[in-house]
Amino acid sequence: MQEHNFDKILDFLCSGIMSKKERQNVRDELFDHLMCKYETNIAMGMDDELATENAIKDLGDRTVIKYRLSQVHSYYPNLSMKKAMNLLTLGFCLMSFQINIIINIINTGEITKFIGQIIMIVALFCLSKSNDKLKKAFVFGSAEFTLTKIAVAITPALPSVVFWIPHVLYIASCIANIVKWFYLFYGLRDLTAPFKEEYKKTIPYGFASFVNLLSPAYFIWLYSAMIVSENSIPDISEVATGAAYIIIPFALISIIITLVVFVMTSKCLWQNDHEYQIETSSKKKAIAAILAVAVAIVPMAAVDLWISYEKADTEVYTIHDSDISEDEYNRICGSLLSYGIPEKLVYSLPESEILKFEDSIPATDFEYPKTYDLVYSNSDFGRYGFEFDAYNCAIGLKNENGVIDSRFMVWIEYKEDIKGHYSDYIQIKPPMYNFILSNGTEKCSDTVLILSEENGKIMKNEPLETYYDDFFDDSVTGIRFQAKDGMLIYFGKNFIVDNSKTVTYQTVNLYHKIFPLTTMRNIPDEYKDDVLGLVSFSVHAQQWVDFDADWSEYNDTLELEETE
Amino acid sequence: MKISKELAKGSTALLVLSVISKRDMYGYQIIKTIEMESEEVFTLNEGTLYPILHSLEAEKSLESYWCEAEGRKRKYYKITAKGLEELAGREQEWKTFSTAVGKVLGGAKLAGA
Repeated sequence: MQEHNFDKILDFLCSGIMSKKERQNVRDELFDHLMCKYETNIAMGMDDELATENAIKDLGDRTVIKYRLSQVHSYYPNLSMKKAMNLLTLGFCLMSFQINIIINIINTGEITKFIGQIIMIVALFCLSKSNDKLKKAFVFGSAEFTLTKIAVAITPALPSVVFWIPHVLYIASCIANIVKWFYLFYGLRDLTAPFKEEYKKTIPYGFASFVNLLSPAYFIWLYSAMIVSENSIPDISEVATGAAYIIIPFALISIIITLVVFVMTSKCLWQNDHEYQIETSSKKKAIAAILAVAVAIVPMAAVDLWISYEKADTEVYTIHDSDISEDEYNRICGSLLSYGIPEKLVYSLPESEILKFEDSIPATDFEYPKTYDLVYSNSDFGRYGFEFDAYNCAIGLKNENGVIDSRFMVWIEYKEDIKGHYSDYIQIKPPMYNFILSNGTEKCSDTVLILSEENGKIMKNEPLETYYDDFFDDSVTGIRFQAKDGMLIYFGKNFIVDNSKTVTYQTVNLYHKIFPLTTMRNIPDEYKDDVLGLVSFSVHAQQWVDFDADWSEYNDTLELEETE
Repeated sequence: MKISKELAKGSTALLVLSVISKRDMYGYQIIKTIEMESEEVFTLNEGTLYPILHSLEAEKSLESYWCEAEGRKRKYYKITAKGLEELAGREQEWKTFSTAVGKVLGGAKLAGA
């Protein structure tokens, strides 16, 4: 019966204890305590009600008891000040100096940054009990992290009309970032203020706050500009790149100043024996907190993967997509095979895809004098130490009436087993998101194909969105698509002449990074004659194909069989 | 005469360890024992005692066990070897402190006289 009377107060006192088991233990212990008091009061002649009331009253300030109990039984990191400061410095270093170790497999730089962010949040949480400003720094730091991740997570699912929502979230995260730094530095300043006289050195908290404001301010401007310009990528990237050159030195300065401030603060507090109150063991709790964060990330990643695969609109490419008869295709493959290129490396790309884009020319608009021509170009570029070789072939076909009515292109991936050539392409790894493909200030004027390889089959992927240049020639300036494992991107500006343009990329999240592979184009009118005059193919030629060059030098490298 | 909170703050853990070192006790009993032995100079409240007990337990200076008493569960605390070491250290610390305070106060009294 008495337990009922103490229920409310016991619930309140123990409500700050996170572990259910510990909460029950503390509750039982306090109940015994209250009952002892109650029984003493009864023995002193009080009636039941008064005895209960006095037992509760004698407890004193219940809020204080609740707070102290929650402190002792907290399951979050309650690290010492020095450890928390070291953690803060470590997290900041990882965030600032992203280390790309195995760049071609996963984007380790982004992962390093991610780990750094989590460590910083844990450190801020450890510090948050020191004073109100540091508590706010933790709140805003968490808000910044959360907003960014939400923006990333919702991007694939958003229709293009609300493209601005992630940008707004990014802007909000930048604002939270600025506020976080402000509270962090001024919170640390308050901590060191009592030791100002002893420490002698001046710690530049104000300056550190200022320099840390510039980088997020730049991104606020950038995302605002992207919203205003409706994601006009080339325009933005041109301006943004210019501004980035200005912001980079400031970013470096802010990193150095911040590190100096952290080290000086830690030293000042340490030298003055300022030790954060430790009331319980900290290591287990720190590990528990980090594990909790890791566990929280798992469902996010799962949702990510689910979105990634749900959104992908793919189907298998078949020979029928290419408007070419199977016999013809086999014959071409046979010719290529004689030059060491196995059929499995020859992919035909359909005209139906090519014609979706600006500047594409229907096959019926031009004629070839021969049944087919094989036009070759070689891409050879290295990025991050990887070299890529690929051969692009455009093939036109003549129908029974001698009119070219279809054409297709062949992409030949060069692998080690072909005459010693080495080539590889980078596959993106899940989880993946939509991202904007752009080639910077250059304009991609027509063919954009997105292929992926699944279980050995080549799949075609529909672009989710295509962006055009409204001011000049309505050329394609970018595409938005669902990134998938093993995806290849075909992208081009000018057929053959300028096929070396690489695609710049923007990653919007952690793990995916894609490199351009090669360019794939149909044949523009102005090059038609030249193309028709070229029937050469060589797997050895390394120089760029140049339409101004003397084409005769290629003529003896490969003569494909003519049907006429 | 009650001692100010500030003054008592540093010695609470010492008092708690000291009374438990004599025999195993539960919370209410600890409060009453300290109150009695100090002739009501020290009156611990629950908000101070239990967090200290739980902290000392987490630091392995104390161990606890449950017993059935008067029809309900009761938690007893027992001092450990580590707790005895801690107690000895704190006692020594306290002696040094009180001797030094005594010296200063004695000196001041002498000067005033």
